[in-house]
Amino acid sequence: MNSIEITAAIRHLVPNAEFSFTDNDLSTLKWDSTELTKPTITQIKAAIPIVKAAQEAEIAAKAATKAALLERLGITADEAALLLS
Amino acid sequence: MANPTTNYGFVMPTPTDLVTDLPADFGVFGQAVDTQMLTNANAAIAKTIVDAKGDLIAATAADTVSRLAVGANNTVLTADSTAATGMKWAAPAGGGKVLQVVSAAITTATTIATTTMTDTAITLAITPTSATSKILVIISANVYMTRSENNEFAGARLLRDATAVVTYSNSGFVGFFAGGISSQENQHTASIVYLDSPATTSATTYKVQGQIIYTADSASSIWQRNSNPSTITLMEIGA
Repeated sequence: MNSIEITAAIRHLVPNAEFSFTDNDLSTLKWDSTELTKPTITQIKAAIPIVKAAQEAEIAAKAATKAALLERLGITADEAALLLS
Repeated sequence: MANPTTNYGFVMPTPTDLVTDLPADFGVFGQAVDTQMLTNANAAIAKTIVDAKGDLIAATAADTVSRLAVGANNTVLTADSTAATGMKWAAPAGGGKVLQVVSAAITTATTIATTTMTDTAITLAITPTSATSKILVIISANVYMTRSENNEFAGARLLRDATAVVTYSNSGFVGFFAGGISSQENQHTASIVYLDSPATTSATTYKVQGQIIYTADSASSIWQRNSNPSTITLMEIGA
């Protein structure tokens, strides 16, 4: 797990939480949002694959929507990019 | 031989005196020599004044001398009217020169996803040799930012021990580091250069703290991401 995955997992568990940590080490997690409950290391680790799966699903859904739109317009992705350039 | 003698004017018995008045003339001669030797001795500087290699003999007043003990290695003789001899051994003045340099490269990744100023791991200590010295702080900070919406900003500040000496506020879109386009990742090397006057000879620690302006939309900053180094260099400049 890397810093971005950890950050996304924490924000998934506690939106808008304020925190910091060092070297991807969850034991160094410093919790600044004292009004919010700090998640446990186990909860954060468990949330990482859930967030990843959600992000991948979102990317796949976007791709499918994009493909459907291109098909409806009858143009390729390159032609669409040309129109936007 | 000249009579009286050339240097001290001793009156020597003449050949006639040697016959007619030898004891009295030798008495006069002997007293003259005795008096002159005392005068010479009083005017001389005794070598017993000095005690060690490098000791100097210096005046403490008119016609008065004293020992000035040798100074420590690499010190220079400096006029000082408050010292007994009017001189002292002292460290040479820096005169705007670089007296010492310390530097460090930091690769500890630090994720900051908070609006609270937080240590970035960029830190280094220096012990100035003089309270009049200045410290030139040169920092090259590797900062990464991401946010799923437009406008992402990081604030930062440089601290001398617990005192903030430079602050890059993250308010009003004037931050230390800024990105602009939604969902884009930005990684740059940003710098802080500051000439500080700590006025101390105690160990002094400089460090960088960072913050983000928005916590929503997955905003975060990572200092030294993937071990990309930040560097900090502290130079002591003589006054």
